[in-house]
Amino acid sequence: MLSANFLIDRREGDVELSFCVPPGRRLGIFGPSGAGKTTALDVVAGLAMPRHGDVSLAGRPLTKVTAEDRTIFVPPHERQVGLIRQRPTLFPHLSVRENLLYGKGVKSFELLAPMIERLELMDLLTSRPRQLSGGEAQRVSIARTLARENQALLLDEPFQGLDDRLRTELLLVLDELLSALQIPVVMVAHELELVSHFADDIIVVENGRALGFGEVRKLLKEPPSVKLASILGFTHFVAIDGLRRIGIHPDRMFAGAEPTRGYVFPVSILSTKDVGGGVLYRLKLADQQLVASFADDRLSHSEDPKVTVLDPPVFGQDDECQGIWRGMTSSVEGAVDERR
Amino acid sequence: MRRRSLLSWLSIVSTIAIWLILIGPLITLFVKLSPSEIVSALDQPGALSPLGISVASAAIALAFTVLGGTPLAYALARSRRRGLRWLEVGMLLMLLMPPLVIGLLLVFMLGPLTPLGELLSRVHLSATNTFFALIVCEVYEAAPYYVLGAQSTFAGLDQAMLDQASLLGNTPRERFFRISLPLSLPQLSSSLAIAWARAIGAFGAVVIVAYHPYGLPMQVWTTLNEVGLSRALPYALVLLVVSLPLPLLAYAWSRYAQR
Repeated sequence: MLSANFLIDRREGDVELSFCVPPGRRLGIFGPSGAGKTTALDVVAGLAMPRHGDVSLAGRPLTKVTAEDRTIFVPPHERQVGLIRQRPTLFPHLSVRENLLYGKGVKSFELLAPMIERLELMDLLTSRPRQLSGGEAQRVSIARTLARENQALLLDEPFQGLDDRLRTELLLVLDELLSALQIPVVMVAHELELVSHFADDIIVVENGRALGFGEVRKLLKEPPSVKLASILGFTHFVAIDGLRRIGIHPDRMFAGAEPTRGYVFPVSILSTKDVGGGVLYRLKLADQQLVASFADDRLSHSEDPKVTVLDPPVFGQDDECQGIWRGMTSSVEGAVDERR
Repeated sequence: MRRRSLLSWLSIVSTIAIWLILIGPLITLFVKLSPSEIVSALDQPGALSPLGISVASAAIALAFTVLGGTPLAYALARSRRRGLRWLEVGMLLMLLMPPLVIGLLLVFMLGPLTPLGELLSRVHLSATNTFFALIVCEVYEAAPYYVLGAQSTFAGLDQAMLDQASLLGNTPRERFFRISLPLSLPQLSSSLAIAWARAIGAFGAVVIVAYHPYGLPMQVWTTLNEVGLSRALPYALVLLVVSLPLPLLAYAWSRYAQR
């Protein structure tokens, strides 16, 4: 179990976070740039010192700083925590092979061969880092970190700057390689899609504070607050009666009325645009304008156009959460011990 | 063809002019020197002993500078402790201080009647007109160039890369020898080469504290005073021959490594 609970000062404002990741489980930390995600990883890796708080891994305390003094601080080289950053930071004076085998206590080359094969690095072993493309360098960086026996793995926007095809491919490979390791994994990203594909649980962070926490599937489906919902991609909130509103996600609606599958709204069509694989509609729905894309232009031919909002989250008046972590009825029962 | 503007012509002309002005003394040296003069000047008995003294003292001074200066430069570059900033200011002062002034102050610091001078005499060393004094002067003139150069090299290392080495299990010591040092070597050698040129050409402090034994700069100076300009010129050439190749080599290496 990796557990962290800390407050750290930064120039952009302090960051206060608390999370636990059991072995074999993956936590995604999601939030806009500058929210404090990387800082959180630095604290776990031992690259940053919190004002107070503690970090422990597999029962071993790594950092323990109280308001009075620093009682425990294990330096990064003794932590056995792997960190893969957005920028590969390969050692330029060493070959790819030497980079791969650089870590202390790294497995033998023979044992590493399947992974190197899987990451398609066999032909690059004698190359120098400056001869590699961005994607190749990132693959070497991943392999270099995984070549050690890590007790936990931290990923800091590891696919940033790679093109979509490469990113999907690498995500699959990484997913496969990590499944074999029963260690806690934390991934930081500012793209929801990436986190939701990769992680089991997710923390949504903004301005150094956690806005929400839960199992990815559940949190995306039923965000506990309007604010959290809007960070997670719900663009509109429409009243369904005097007290309640529902959240509308542009990807989770379809043209036509099917009351059994969600809420049906009449809409008026403001404009349409054929974008090849689909039709982009600008719609007016209960006094709000929104843009949605549908597979065909069926909606345009209907005399009384309606859309169905699929199984949306419903918010009462008191769900207007203003950036405070509302108790977080943790949805990951048993898996996470809430030591807060 | 694109026509050059007046401004670009002016900048080309001024570039060439500056270059010629700066390189002028070197051209003059080769124009003025005849091979027979070189041979006759250097053929006399003992004529090359200043060369030996200069090379030996500069080598020792540099060894001392590298051994002591490299850790200092690394600490200055990597540590955020405030006390170290004062060390840096001290280094900078030594770099900026005129060598002649350093020489004068060395007399007051290490002269035979000072406490430090007495301490030295107990181990049979004297910092006045000895080979040891020559080394001391050269250290003072050369070390700041090396330390400040090495500091800026170390400060330029990629922190994320160093962090990665730590996370891969390197202790700070291992990280220094496996990452920081190898990546800094080309530029360290540049700083070292500059220090070499300063050490072997040291004159300001030397003329006050270490008049004897003659190194090359003192030889040039005394020959100039006692015999004349034309006799001093061959020694100037020898001084250039020993002081320049190392810097040029280091320069070439660091350019090559940066490609």
